[in-house]
Amino acid sequence: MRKGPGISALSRHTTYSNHYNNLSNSISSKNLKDLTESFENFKFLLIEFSIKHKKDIRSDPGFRFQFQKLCSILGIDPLLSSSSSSSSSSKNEGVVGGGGGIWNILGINEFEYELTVQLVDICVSTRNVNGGLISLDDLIKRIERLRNPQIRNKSTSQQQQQQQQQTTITIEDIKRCIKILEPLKSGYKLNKIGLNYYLTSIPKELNTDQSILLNLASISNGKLTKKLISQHIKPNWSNQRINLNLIDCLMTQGLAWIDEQSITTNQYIENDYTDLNKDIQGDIWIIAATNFED
Amino acid sequence: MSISQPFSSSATSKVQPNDIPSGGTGGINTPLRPIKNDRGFEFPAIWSFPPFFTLQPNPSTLSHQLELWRALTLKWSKHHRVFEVNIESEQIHEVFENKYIKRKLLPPSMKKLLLEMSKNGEAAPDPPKQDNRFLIYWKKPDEWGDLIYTWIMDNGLNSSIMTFYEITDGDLSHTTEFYELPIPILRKALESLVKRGKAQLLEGKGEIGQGVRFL
Repeated sequence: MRKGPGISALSRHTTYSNHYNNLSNSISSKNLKDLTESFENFKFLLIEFSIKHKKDIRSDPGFRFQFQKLCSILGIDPLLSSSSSSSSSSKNEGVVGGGGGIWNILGINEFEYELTVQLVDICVSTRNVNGGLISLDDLIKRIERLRNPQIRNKSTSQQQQQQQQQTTITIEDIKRCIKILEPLKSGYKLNKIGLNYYLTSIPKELNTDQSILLNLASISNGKLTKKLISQHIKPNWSNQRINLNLIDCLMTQGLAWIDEQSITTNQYIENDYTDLNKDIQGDIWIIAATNFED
Repeated sequence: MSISQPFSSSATSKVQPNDIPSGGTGGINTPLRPIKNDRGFEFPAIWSFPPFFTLQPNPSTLSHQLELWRALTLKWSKHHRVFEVNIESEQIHEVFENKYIKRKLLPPSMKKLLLEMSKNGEAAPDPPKQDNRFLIYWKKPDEWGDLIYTWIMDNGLNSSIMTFYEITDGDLSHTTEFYELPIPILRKALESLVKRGKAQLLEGKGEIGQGVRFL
């Protein structure tokens, strides 16, 4: 096409640019439409996938973890509504329903919140016994018993074993619960001590000495004696350091119980240990590290 | 790493061998298990936790510990139909002594527990104004009263005068829950019925002559 001078060239230029505009508009709108379509498609497939594997996601912790990873890579927050776009097709609308997100479809929303409530329930109700320190194993055992009261009956019928399997709770689940609780600033924190995890449910930091004692307690079924401490903790602690830490566990933190009859069986000792210079008379048991089977 | 065993166990005839908690042979981390006695009562796992028998110096731990003890004492007394506890008695009740871990609730601790139970209406010093002998209320006197009253009505005994002995040890009461109920508890149960206008006490001379008429 010849590029001519004069007034006609100007009008021709306008016509061209209009055409280009139209073309680009139609292309981008087609792109957008395609994109929306594929997004809708993807969403539909994801929902279909999650519904198809609902059972697996709910019952298999490994699968659930992978699914969560997938969602987070894709930038999808399963807790947020996914049906906010009004253009969602009527076919999907029925499934997405009130718009509680994918989790809601799976009932996982419920799953995590329910788990969190149960976690808090157990931490609060055992706080008087263990001073707000509970081993992860014990916590999970108690949550599972709360969810499946029939486990208590110790029946080993296959169906019940299956049920037990279905609700296996993992450390990943507990970690997510703690994350849910984070904004409340209630001090729930998972501590790794030695090979074991302990959950603290009141705002406190376990100091180094306490962690060392807890680590020792976790291999002695909770029982700590001065002899045991001086035998196994190197470099050696002074008697005063041992005593002070034990009194702290017992009195200030409420993590420990004392067994005075380990020394004298028939004599009653009335010790209050409010005086920090008092010598601990008996064995100290860190209850969170003691394994109870009931 | 070798750590001394948390327990030393001594077997007695009362517990089946399978129910003995981790003894000399088990691993260090053997869990504390519930123990069943020969009369089918199951002691909870905490009963095998040695510090459970020392009243705890930390106040919030202590309050929870006493709660556990109160519940256990009531449950055990109900199972074995134990109505009275004497702290000074040589014969210590099974629940207050765990022979497998060689721990027992010493008299001052037991006293504290029973006074705590009395505060909660689960026990009462008998005779009053001393703190060595206690009645255990695994049923409250009111409840005993209701039970007796229902039984009287069901058996059509409401017109006749009954002696205390007839109620708790008579031929008719063999199958009832209040069979061999101690007189002090019976008296309190009947007094609660009197208060509610359902009975009338007839004082005789001494313990033998006491009777009651149900209205």
